[in-house]
Amino acid sequence: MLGKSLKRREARVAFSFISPVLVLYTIFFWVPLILIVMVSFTKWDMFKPMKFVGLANYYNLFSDPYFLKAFLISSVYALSSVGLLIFFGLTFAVLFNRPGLIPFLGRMLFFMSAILPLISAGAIWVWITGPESYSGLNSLMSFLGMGRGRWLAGSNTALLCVIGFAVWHGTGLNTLMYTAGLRGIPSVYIDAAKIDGASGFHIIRYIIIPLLRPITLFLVVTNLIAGFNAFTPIWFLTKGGPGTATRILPTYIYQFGFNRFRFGFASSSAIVLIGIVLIFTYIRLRKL
Amino acid sequence: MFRKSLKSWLINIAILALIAFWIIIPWMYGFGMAFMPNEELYKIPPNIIPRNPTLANFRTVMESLSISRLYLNTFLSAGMAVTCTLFFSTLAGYAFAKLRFFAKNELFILCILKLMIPEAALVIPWFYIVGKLGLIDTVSAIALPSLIGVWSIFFMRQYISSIPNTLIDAARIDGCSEMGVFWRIILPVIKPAIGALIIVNFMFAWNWFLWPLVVLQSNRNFTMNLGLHFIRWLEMGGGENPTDYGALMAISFLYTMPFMVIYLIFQRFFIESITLTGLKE
Repeated sequence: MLGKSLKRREARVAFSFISPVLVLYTIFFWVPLILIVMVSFTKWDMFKPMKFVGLANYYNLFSDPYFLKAFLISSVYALSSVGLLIFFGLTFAVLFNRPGLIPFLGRMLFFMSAILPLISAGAIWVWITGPESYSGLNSLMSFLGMGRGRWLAGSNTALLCVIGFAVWHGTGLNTLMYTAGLRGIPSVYIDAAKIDGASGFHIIRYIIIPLLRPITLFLVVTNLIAGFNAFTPIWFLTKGGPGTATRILPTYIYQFGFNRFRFGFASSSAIVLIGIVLIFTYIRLRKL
Repeated sequence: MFRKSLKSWLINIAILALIAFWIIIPWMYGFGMAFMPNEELYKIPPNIIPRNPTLANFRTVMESLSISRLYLNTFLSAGMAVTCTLFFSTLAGYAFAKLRFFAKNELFILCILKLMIPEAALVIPWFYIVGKLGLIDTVSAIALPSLIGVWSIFFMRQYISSIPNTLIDAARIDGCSEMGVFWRIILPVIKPAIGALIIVNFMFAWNWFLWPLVVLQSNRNFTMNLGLHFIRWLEMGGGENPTDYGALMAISFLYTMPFMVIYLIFQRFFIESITLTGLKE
């Protein structure tokens, strides 16, 4: 009797605690999610009422060569930045994981760069990879006696520059995660290997890398998801340009939605992006 | 012995070079440029530290943007997002961690589903809903969708789960009300988590770009990072005109400084919360 009334009291309190969250989620998550699925089957510019068009948006999407190009560029961007981030993150973490003032300084500064705002790092990258003769890379090139490049403004080099930015700015965070992981490896393993005569390379290859596998897996999937979602850096650096050289899926959605007001079409490409991200999230949940 | 010290000496040199080229030179030059007159900006090779510092670049920025408005908008929207998220997610986190109620796990899963849906997909319906509310191009619209702090709820639930149940039951037996349990028992214990939550949500808000870009249209309602975006593309016009690096770095300086101050104050929470969650923009 008492137990039942206690339980009821508890449930009442619980619902009053979570109800604000439930209301917010309904307005800004569940309804939008349903809305976007609905809209993807319609033609809609937000002014006139929606017009049901069936699967036409999806048909147009998959027959649009620019969509396939955007998908390809997204994959190249995500995969190559993930590879480089993992490589640099692990290398720097191992390099900085030793006693002394200089490695400590390295850890400190890389941690700090990890949390500095993305866009202010982007502003510096705009200068480094600018097409002008006085931009960072071009000053360096002329110092080395080489010619001038167009970098961020060149249709062949722009993608390279954006990937470079993702790596330059993201390495700090990956180094931080790997450093935390290295701290968790008991030093007896490494001491035992040293006594058995293992070289530094062998210790890294056969002890550190296998033990850091869970972190690596986590970082690969997180960085992949972030790579497929990377709207901010791309839009700030290139707006997807020049031409369509750096147009990835989120910029494709944004441009069709908010520049051309084809929200139905944009929603159908958003559904495809959701599908891609869901696959990776599923892998992350399965493997962790 | 000698070979070993040579090796560690070489590694230290490598680390120093890495720090210099990866972090110090770009960032120092970036901040230096904010104070450089045009002649110095166009110099090859560039000076790292400005010879004749000037505020001209800041004046250029102020010609097209009102800095005080940008600061106000950014702090207002970030403050709103942080306060509300903190309040709601602490309550919800406690309920999901410690209270028993109908469809608890199902509701929780429905909430964390949000982590898997890309923001680029959600802004279209958000824009429609905020339009229905008549809030397009207002400062309060910026914070609205971020009030669903899914990460914060998850984090709070994990943190509160680690509090022993006996503590809560003891308080209940002593006649403490449910609100009293939350207020007197839970809140004092989760202070570090609240610190981490404030910092991380502030960081999210300070960096938030896509949604403000969609919902804000007039310069006077911009947040700081939209100001940066505005200056970045102001003179490009799709053509060959060079970006005004001086002005860009000037506003970038204004954007970064408050953040740095807050970082230095809360540094401890920052690194803790990042390693705890592997947070990613």
